[in-house]
Amino acid sequence: MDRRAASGVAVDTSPEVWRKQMGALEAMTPQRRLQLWEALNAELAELEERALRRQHPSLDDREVLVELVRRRYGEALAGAVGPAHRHAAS
Amino acid sequence: MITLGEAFRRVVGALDRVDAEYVVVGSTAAAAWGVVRSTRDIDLVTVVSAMSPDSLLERLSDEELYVPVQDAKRALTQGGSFNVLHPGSGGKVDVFVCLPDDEFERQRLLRRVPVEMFGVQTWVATAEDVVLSKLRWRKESRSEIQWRDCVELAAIQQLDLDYLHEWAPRLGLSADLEALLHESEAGDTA
Repeated sequence: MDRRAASGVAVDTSPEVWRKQMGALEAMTPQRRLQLWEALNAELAELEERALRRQHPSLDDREVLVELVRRRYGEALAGAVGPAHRHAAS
Repeated sequence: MITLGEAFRRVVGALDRVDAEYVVVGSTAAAAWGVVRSTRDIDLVTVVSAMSPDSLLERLSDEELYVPVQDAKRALTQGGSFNVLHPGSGGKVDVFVCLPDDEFERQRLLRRVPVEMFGVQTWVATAEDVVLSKLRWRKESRSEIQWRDCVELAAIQQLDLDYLHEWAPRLGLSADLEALLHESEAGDTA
């Protein structure tokens, strides 16, 4: 199957640009794609943390991690990260 | 900041030490084949084996990982899933435990591909198995993201159509696969 435009393509992406994107990804090794994926996750996690710290500047590092885990995975797993903590309002 | 690497390396280390077969699946495996999206955790599949659940749980504990023990014991003996969290980094890995007679999961494990991830050697599901899983998940969840991922995978990878045609009917996905291939053909002539 070749690169193509299709209904699975976001409406804000032109078929030509989409094909180029797919071509660029096709040319990479799995290793390189996973490196991009790791970097993307790290950037988003950093943005997530910055937003929380802006919202709640009084939280220390441990409280920030507990709150991030609570928001991402829920109460039960947040309890595994740290002792009883105050919840930052979402 | 939550990071996934430490949790992943430790879980893989524990699985390796008890000689458990496993394969990374889901959006992480999709990333290896070109669908690079952010993810909140990493999914991997292993199989129920004769191994005592306690030996894996001990290894996970040695790695300073938090595991809900009852969930894990149930999954490791009867099939199912459980969470593994690294409290130091906040990273989470979800472990899906399949039964030995689940032929599709056995295939995923047999066909797995070696890659390096977070600095360790590991295994990811093939592009075809990612497509089949996403088609199945799309059917259950009605998630259009899964469909978009399949379209992109079909565009980036030269998929093994014989394998897809063999497994799609067995998974009740014939119509879904045909729709995907039809879309690909329509795109080819666009």
